[in-house]
Amino acid sequence: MDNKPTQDWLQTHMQMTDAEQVPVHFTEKLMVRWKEMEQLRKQQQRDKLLSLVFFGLAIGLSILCMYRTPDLKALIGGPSVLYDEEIQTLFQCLFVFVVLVLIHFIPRLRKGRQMQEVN
Amino acid sequence: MANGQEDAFRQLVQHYQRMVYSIALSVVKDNFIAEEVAQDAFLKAYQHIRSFDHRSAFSTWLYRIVTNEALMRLRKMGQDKLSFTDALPEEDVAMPDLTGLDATETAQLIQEGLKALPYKESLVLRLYYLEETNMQAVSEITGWTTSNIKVLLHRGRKRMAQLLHSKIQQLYHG
Repeated sequence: MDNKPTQDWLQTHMQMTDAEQVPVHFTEKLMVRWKEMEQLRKQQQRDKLLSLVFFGLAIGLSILCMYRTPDLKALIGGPSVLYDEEIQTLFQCLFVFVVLVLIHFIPRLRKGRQMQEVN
Repeated sequence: MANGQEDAFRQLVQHYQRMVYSIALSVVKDNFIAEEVAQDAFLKAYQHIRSFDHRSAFSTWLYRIVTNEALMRLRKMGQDKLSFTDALPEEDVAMPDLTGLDATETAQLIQEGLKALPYKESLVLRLYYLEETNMQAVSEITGWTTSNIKVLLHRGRKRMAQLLHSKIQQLYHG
């Protein structure tokens, strides 16, 4: 394709040439970013675990509300009554579920907005 | 465990940083942006280390990541369509005689030449000669076909000879 001497010349001289020197503190700056990334990853893992626990709790409580309303009322010291109407139970379940979800998500939403503002 | 990971990552960075940075610089042509691209590439490699399937060398996989990062950055900057303004010489230009220069000066001259080349040519010359990678590996890293790489190498060599000639002239004749 092109003459051999040019290729040989380049080969010889390029082999004597090192790769570019990286800017000073390259490794240190990268390690700082790496640590931040690791912290974020661990935080996300914790959040994921917490979410699972919360949703498990929410679903568990909802099921408990649905099937064992009188027992629950007795447990929290309320007047023990016989089974309420189905619709009332359903609203109770929904209420518990929504409260738990809100408790879980509102601080995270606020945190996410703060992060966005920082960025 | 965390310390072990940190040490391992630091070692990996120290081993490959110069070549990763050089690849980034070949493409983006700016020291500051090249530093960012190289750092992003290392972090991306760390995040996706599980997807490395050992089918190619680790260096090939890492260089592919940095090449993709650099090309993506170039696209974002809208400079991937820029063409080299100086025309390619028609006939082959012989490489200049550098016997008057010491090794450091020669290396510096070549680095300057590589920086001045269009990014595709600079990238393949660096990978092929500096990293002594074979044509197949260069193709894997860049995603370009081997025939395309042969053309780029040919053009790169020609243009490099032209650039070095003019730099030598500037050096000796002001």
